[in-house]
Amino acid sequence: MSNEKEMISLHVDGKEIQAPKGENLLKLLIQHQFKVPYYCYHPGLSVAGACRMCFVEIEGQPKPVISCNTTIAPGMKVNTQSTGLTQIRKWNLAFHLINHPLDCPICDQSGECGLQEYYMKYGRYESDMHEPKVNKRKVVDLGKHVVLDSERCILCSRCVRFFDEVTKTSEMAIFNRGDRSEIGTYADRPLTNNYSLCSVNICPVGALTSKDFRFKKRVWFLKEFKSICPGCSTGCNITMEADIREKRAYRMLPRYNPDINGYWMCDYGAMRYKQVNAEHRLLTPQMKQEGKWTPIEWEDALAFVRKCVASQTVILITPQFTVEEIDHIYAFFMKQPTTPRIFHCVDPQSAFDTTITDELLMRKDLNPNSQGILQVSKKHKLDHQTLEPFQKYIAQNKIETLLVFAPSDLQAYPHFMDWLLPAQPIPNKIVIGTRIELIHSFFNLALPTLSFAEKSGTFINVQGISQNIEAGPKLVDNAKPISEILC
Amino acid sequence: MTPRILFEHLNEKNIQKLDTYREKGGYTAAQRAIGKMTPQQVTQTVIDSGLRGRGGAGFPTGKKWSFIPKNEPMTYLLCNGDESEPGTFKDRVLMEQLPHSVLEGIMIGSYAIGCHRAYIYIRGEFTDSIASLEEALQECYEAKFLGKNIFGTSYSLDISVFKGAGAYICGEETGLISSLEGFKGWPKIKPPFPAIAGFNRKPTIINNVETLAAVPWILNHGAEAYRKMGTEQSPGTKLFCLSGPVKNPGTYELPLGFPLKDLIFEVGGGLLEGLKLKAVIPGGASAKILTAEEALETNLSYEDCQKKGTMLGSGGVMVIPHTQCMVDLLGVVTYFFKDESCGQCTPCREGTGWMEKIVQSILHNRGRPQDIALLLGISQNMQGGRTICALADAAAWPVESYVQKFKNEFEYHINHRRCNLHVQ
Repeated sequence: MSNEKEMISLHVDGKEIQAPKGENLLKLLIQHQFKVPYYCYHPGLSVAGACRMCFVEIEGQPKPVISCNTTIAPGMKVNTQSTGLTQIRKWNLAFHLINHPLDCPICDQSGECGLQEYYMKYGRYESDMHEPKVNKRKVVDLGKHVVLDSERCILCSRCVRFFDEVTKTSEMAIFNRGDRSEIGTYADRPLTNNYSLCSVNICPVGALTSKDFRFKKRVWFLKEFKSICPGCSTGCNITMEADIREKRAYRMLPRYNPDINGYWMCDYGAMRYKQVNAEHRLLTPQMKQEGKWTPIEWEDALAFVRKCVASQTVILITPQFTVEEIDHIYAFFMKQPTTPRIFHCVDPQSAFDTTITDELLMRKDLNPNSQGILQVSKKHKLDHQTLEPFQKYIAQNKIETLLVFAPSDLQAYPHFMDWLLPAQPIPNKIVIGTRIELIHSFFNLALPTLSFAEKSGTFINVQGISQNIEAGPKLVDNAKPISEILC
Repeated sequence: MTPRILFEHLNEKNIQKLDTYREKGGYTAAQRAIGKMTPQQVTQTVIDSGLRGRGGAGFPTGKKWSFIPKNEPMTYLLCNGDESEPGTFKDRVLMEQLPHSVLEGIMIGSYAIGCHRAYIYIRGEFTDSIASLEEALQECYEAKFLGKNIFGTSYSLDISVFKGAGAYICGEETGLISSLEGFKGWPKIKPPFPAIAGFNRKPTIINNVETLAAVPWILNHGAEAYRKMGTEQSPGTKLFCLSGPVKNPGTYELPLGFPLKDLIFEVGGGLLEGLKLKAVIPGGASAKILTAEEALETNLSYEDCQKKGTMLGSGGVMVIPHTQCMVDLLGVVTYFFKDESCGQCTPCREGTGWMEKIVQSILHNRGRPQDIALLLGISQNMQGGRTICALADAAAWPVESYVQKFKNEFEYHINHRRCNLHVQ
């Protein structure tokens, strides 16, 4: 198949547009930011044509047509705005709203709700609905991550199509008929696949909400940062959302990348934001003095580090740092007078393993930057220095200082501390990382650094694609970037 | 005496049996079509006859067949026996009494579109129709009229009966396809149309039982003979289901263009003693209602019904007497459509329920003056291509027409909080 698709030209609202042949009209209108409302259409799913919001006028067609089920044709003349179309949209919105609860103030979708958005433009304002509303089920538990409120559902069927077409697990369906229709899972079984939160993300209204996020934060307080999921070697593109004033991350949402994750990300990944918040973090430099961990000043800590690295030092790096950080660590120690022993813990076999371990995206290697570490260590000709030689070395040699760049996500290395157990007694054991768990009896100095959400840099995924992460707000004031710790 | 095509042998004893049906000339049309004619010739004969679909929409049958792309290896013919339009009971007569004429029609239709696998979709409640057709099918297989190499030709065809669960929406072409595919009976968005991608995504033709049952006669007697009956735009005969308080209700075969007045007062014998004609629903519950004056001037043809602002539909003629409260009647009709809306697309799902509640409110003396305009607003914004299928239109037309034509009854209910028919 050739990459270059034949381009055709058409007119929308008098403007000429070039587009690849066979393109979906609504997709094109959205891309070019024409104001056409829609609920059921999603570019990653099949066309349902259920919400009937996306009507447009096409010259030569006797009646307005839904743009989501229209394929563009050369010379097509499309009109997206007219009094007739506004009338259709107003009535269709009214049909969506007559049985919808009027409880936006207590609805978690407020602020990112399709109904609210179009109501401002197409609302009929004076409600004509004086009949009792249809009552449906509320607060239905749909498993570990998802809660359903059927009354808020507009039956766009995005979630149903998602589980049918993307995960192919088909847990959900629309039951009953007419205005009694309700979404749900068969026999109310919980959603157990690893993508249940995608259904929440694509829900245009407040019907499916995330158990983790609901009622925690109004979305207008959140600021978005483009980042990469640190949960595995796939490197799904994400948007990190954090409240800057509160210095707290609230959620991670998938960001479209056709080459890596499409529109989706897994539940495991979506929960990775939690580790960056203060309660899981090492907040200040701490030193073990007379068997007790005590906070110390950065100045003293850095002086200690400087003193230690001048001696015989062994360094272990884990693949949850950015390429820039890893390169800085290698470069820093390579120019030290003593021969540095720099090791990394990447297992080349699993780092290149592209096997998907769940329904869609997840990979076995739960690190975001194994490829990055392999590339940087190769550049410094130290790629053979892996975990096994490291353990052998610390077991057999007497060393002055051990410097560990610890993983932020302990899920990737649950037995991380075991690696260090065979060591001979070492006088200076320094750990640099983000987690509170690093206050461990093994070490004597723990230094807080930045989590993936707070720094910019590069992760290289399993396919070898380099992707940038954007720095969000600093969530722990006293954490320092690696470049300021090793300087 | 009106001409008889579909009901030609209705009163023959044992006409359900293959032998009797053959004695009366049955299967000669199929035999000649399959043995001596090309599929194009068969289609052309049906196009020439002007036969129009009897399910409700009245689309020219031969033209529909010609939409099947040429040289398709896999096509389907589905016979729509999901007769669910309120006031309609014609297909069941054919399926129960004349099953072989239906099968012969399917054979000819299948041959014309190059289909080797046909299904008859029957609503589950029609147990007699199912039994009768299954028996007829078995006879055909035993006589080698179906299966491999029919009538000694190279053409093979299998026909099966599929029982639906009795949903109105499964009578809609694509709803029927969804149901037959094993899914919920949800209509599919068009395009693609079934003739391009229908059942199992293969080119598919869906024809009403009555449409197919008329095909053998057309092949036997020629398109010209068929055109001699009916009108220019509505050739042939059609079954009409006369119901309501008339002396002789029932299913009648009449030439198209037959005056509605004559159907009620001549064929049907007029209304029962003491009842006056108030209104007529000419084509099943979804057709727009005609007032008595309009009805008396209407002829039962596709074009004349359309001229009068309604439709011939399925031919379910319901006679409404002067004692009938129209608000009450609309309550029944709106309940039906609310119950039968599949719920897939929004205007129909929400609109049918909303209209039903408003009509019930008016009926039960909770109506508000603005409800009349609201009913019109809702019904007018549900129709005209706003939804995936025509159920929304079917639900909206009665509301719009009842409210427009019998506005005074609705106003009386709202203003006086009682029905004007029970004042005395």
